[in-house]
Amino acid sequence: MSSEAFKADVAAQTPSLTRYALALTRDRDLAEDLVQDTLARALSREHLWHGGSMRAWLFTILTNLDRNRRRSLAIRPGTDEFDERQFGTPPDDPLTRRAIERGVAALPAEQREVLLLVALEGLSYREVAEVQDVPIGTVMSRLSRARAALRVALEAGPQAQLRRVK
Amino acid sequence: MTDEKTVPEEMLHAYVDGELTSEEGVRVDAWLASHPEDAAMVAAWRHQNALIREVFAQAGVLPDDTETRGPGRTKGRSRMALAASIAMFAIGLAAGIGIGVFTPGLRSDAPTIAAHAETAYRVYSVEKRHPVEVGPDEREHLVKWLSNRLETPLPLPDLAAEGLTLVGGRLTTGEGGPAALFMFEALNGDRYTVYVTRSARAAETAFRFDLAGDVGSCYWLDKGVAVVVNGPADRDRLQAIANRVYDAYEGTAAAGPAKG
Repeated sequence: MSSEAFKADVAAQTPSLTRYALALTRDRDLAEDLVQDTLARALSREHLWHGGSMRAWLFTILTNLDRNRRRSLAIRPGTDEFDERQFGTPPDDPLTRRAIERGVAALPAEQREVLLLVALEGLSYREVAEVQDVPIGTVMSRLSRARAALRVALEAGPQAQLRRVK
Repeated sequence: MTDEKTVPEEMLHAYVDGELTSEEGVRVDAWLASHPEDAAMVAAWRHQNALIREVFAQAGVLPDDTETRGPGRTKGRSRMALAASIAMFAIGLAAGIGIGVFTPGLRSDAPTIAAHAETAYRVYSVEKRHPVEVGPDEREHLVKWLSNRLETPLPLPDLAAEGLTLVGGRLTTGEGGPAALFMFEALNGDRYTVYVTRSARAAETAFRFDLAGDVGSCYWLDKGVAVVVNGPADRDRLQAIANRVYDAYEGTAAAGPAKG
């Protein structure tokens, strides 16, 4: 693959990466940094591009950058709080919307990644396994737990979400 | 199909996420019809997927809506800055590579046709039993029929050199008119389609390449004929195939009925 084609393919994924980064971090500034870092990293590492799914590769870079970020944040608790103002105008049903946002935010990071990559970005299970560097079985169990937790969150409603522990 | 094997939960997830073959899908359909609890679970997951897309896709749009920014946020960079910087980044790349793939103005004529073609690919290429209306044993009839319907000679590209054999073709819909869809298959089962339709737009375009998830599109407009080649998202492979299709179509609209 020529370098021009490579750049074009990387850039073409920008909207998807932005959407995923926003959903993952719930913070526009962080999302911007993540996407820019991902693009820069990908473009400077063309020699590491092994073919296969370009999407999976870029999502892997972004996911790992986000994990590094969270790791460094672990010593500064409180910076990662939920900020509902980071998103645009609510849809018709703000309660459902909030329940989804909180429910997704409350998931363990690995489960949140799987759910967003599958439901939001439409990655195949195989691609998600590649992104997380785990067997497909692990992807499946994370997906299963994420959906079960989200189902509880949605049925309980946004108020109960705050009290739910798991 | 009377003995019903238990459908495990993983399979239900795969069903919701479109990871099953059509046969497996049929099996799950049958299972769900007689297992209301599983059916409710599947419905709940589908609903979650829809909500996630609705809630977070909206966030990805980056609207110019400064009102919703919190008073407590003092990080300085607005969402517009984000949108602008990413857009500049993409345009910069596009300018640098000289094929205007990301410049909206240049893209505006062909995408709707490309979207029709991509849908046709997604719908028909997964069909096991009825992917086409006319099979490879009726090549001549296929070409004549579709050429008549589109009122333009449609050469049937020979993609044997790319390891593709003809599956057949069908009539489908384009932008307010008919479209022709030729389908080819590789040895590994990958399918490729060549979608052809007339376009009132006079514009002539260079090759465009787009990836939408797992499906790649290569398309161009030439002398009122739009051609879209779809297949698995492997750019080099698709480009090689599209080059052959392009060769077959070069100059057809202007020329008389082509034999071959």
